[in-house]
Amino acid sequence: MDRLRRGDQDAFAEFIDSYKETVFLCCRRLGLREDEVEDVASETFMAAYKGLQRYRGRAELSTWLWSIAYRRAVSFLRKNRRQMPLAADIKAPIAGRREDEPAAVLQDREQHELVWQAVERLPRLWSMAVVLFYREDKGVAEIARIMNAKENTVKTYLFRARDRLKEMLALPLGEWTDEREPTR
Amino acid sequence: MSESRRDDNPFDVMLAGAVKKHREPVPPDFTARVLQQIERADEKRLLSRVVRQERIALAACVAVAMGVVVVAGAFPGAAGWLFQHAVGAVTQQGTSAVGAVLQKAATLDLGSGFWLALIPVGVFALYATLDAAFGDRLSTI
Repeated sequence: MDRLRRGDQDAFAEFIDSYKETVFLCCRRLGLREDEVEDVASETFMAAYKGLQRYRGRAELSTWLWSIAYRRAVSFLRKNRRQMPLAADIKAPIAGRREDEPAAVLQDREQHELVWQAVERLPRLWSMAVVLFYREDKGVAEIARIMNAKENTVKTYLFRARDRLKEMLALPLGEWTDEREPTR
Repeated sequence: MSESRRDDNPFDVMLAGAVKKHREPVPPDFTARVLQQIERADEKRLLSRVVRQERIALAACVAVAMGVVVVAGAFPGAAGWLFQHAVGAVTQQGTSAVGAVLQKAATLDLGSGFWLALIPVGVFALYATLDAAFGDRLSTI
């Protein structure tokens, strides 16, 4: 952190390498087009470079960066007078399902690809909440801070997203979800 | 949605495991490009700071010189008295070279306003020279 604050270029290169994937993920989840994603991701890191002097460590570094990326992406969409694009048809079946193949033999890789396809089909804000909660291990309060939303709103996103995911994954991963569905 | 549920519930565990395996594609030279952009932005910022400093210095020099001329024109007696005392003070301080120049200047019959206006210009020239010679070192102190 000290090296970053001093403006050490090597430290900043390491910082970019560590977080570039999450910043791209944030931009893409919010529905930026492929040609816009890199611009907004660069802007995010430029803003982080300038803002590191003022970073006091009140939030985790990753949470702080997510907030910047989220704000930049949303403001880009607003500036270009675009609504956050709706997700793809969430009722459509998830690709990759093979009727003749029992769910039990789905390879791990296939399973995670199917799950990811389902996450991509969620409405943008739900999908964002899912990524932050399940992938980045952020708490609800942190997600609320990043998304500039109320905690209850984030909880609603997560509940609805989870239900929708179970619905969407019921077909390709049916046996798995049905048989091992936990009692609440 | 509690954080513990993410770790306990099998569906949530499967979901977390699956999304964590996802790798988001990033252009391979992205880091280098961002660093280049930062470098360019730093250079631009530094350059614009120097240009701004120079403009302020020049504007201040012109404003002071014009002010002095106006004051000298409006109150010639007071300006002449002030200039003579300034010359006297410098000479008494023992900076003989500067004093000698000023005394010589004061004896020239070109009007005190002219010389009063010339002082800030000289100061600016001195500043510009010092800045050119030591500016970089001074700014990093």
